[in-house]
Amino acid sequence: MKKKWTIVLLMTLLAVIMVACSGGDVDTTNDNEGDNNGSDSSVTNDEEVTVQVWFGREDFIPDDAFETFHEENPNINVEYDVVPLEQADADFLRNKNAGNAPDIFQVFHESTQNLAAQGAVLNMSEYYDKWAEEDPDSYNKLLDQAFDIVSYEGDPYGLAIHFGPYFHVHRNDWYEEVGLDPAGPETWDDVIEHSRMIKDAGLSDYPYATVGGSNAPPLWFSSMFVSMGGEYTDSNAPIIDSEAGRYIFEWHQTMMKEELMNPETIAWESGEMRGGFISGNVAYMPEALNIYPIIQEELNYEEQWLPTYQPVRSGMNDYTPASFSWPMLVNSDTEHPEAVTEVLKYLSSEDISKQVALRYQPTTNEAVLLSDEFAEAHPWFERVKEGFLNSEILPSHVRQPEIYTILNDFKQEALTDLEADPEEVTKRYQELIDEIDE
Amino acid sequence: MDAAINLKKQKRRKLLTPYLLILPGFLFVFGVLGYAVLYGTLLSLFDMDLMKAETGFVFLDNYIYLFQNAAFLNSLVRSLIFVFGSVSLGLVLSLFFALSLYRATRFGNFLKGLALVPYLVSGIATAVMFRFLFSGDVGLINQVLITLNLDAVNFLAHPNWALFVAVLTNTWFIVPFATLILLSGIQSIDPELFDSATVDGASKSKVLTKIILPLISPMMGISLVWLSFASFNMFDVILPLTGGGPNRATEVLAVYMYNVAFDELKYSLGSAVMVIILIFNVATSALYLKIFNTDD
Repeated sequence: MKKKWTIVLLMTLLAVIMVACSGGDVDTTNDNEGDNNGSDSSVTNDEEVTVQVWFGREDFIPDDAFETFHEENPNINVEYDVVPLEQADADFLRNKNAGNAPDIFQVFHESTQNLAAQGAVLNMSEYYDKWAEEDPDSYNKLLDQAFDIVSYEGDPYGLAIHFGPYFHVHRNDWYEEVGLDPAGPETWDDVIEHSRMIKDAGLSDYPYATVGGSNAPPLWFSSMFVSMGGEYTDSNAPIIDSEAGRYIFEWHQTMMKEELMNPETIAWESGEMRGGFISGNVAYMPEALNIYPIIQEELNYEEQWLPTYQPVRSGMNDYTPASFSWPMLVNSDTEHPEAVTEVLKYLSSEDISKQVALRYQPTTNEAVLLSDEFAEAHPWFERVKEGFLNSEILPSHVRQPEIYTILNDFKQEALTDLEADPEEVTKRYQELIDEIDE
Repeated sequence: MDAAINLKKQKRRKLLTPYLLILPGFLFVFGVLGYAVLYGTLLSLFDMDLMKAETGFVFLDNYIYLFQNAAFLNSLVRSLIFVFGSVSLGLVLSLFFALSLYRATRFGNFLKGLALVPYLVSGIATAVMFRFLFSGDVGLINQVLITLNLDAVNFLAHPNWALFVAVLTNTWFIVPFATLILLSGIQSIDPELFDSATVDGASKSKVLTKIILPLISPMMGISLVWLSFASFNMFDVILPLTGGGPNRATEVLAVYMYNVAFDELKYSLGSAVMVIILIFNVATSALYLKIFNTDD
């Protein structure tokens, strides 16, 4: 009996020690929130400061690994690391609670709203005003999207240096073969009609490819929703109990029912979709600019494929292309906001952003987009230039991950329940979205 | 008097030595695992959500929410089917492989090493391999079906087939270790027992059911603990294989936990799921060990 009690006591003691060692910080509130608006710290010429940067992908790191920056700013030392975009926001918040988060970090754009609402990121308005005043040349080269993408309630909390709108690619050679205008479909109803023709002509078993799997966020689906006239609430929740919501559901049902999309689409991730088009098995896919060089390796641009804006819902005249971004956000605890601004200026400068834009993702630096080098590397850009420059970021709610889960379920139901009533389904999913949006 | 004290001391030392020796290991395991379990359990009683700045003590609210949530209940049912399928198939296969390896005298060690290969391959590589095998148009399985004049099956697009493929993939991944456990049990049986049975005219099935199975019963228990524990916790194969789809058909508890904790950043809710998985693991392990009494 005595032994038993001793063991119980020892175990309890051990448990207490373990919990005590944990620091007991289940509280996620930001102790430093509001303590530092960054305005009282600045870089003077003789002060040595270190700016820590997390890139979301290795490809976003400048080719010179900040060598030029260090030469131009000898008092600012940039230390960088790669923290995958998929885990950057969670890692940032955990590190911030522990007091060792980076000054600048890169996230998927949809994290901006939430991080800003929490006070975890720094309002950069003051520093950007200064930048615009002191160096209008570099500032004005940036598209409005560079600041809009990272804005919450009108203020920027970082800088979107790279972004990419979703467009649409199709096989113009097949269009010619079946006697259609090679310029491509104008409406989503055209896509259905033309897919039937392409299938009947034996050019493709399943002409349309998209991402139906549940592993990826429903970005392609959302871009299609926007081009079908989809709208969002003021808090950026999608309104799917709408004409566009019912249409996108019915459109997927029709495509699946008539086997105009692969029956396995529900299990497809972006790799399968891209593979389908690049290998010459499908006629269309919704895709962004960064994939076009890979298509070009297998299919000849203009001879076999063309990029266009996404088709629109019948009755609509046009739409504003929806884009996606991987902005750099600024930690609200940073002690060197001016040094941080210098780093952001460097990353968004024409030379540096051009390097990344030529080999990876397009930039918000207009001078780069309009440069000869960019035109040479992306000959298809001219076709979508206007839509690109005027594109708008896909709206994101403060609880975007949950919205994504609902949209993925909605999309998967459209791909499998082919007899479901779109009105009933959209109502049901709208209720789920409304619960989150309350 | 001194001799008696010395004897007592020696006895105590003898009694304590094994405990002292396992203490570092115990502390390490407790520190790594125990900390996570304790902290996770504590976390499940709070409302810690990285998407929200404020948090608070909510006691059992997370558990109540889960048992009223259709997605969680679906994942619970899917998990039970997945575990039952994996454990049943896994036990039969591991027993079959263990018996085969026991009988394989030539290249025995090589074959034992070879049997471990699936366990050494990463979960993601396993998932990618099975995704290729079972994909609709170009998958090997469908190519075989077509060659046999049978209809191709969209394994990964059909909820039940997808769950079946997930069970197969998981089984492929976890069976080698279970095989090793059973093999060690079979190898510990005195070979004279087999000889005596053969002399007495016992059939192979009698040798299996009357000698091998009863004698490896404790190992069966341990093997079952492994198969069921590994299946309940399985997520690194399922996530790249099906992502929990189609229509959440393969969203087992571990995948649901991952989505809630790391996609939606609801750490407390994820912790509550972790506790529920832990309870299932402890309960099934206790049950197996009771049925297959390992002390004998």
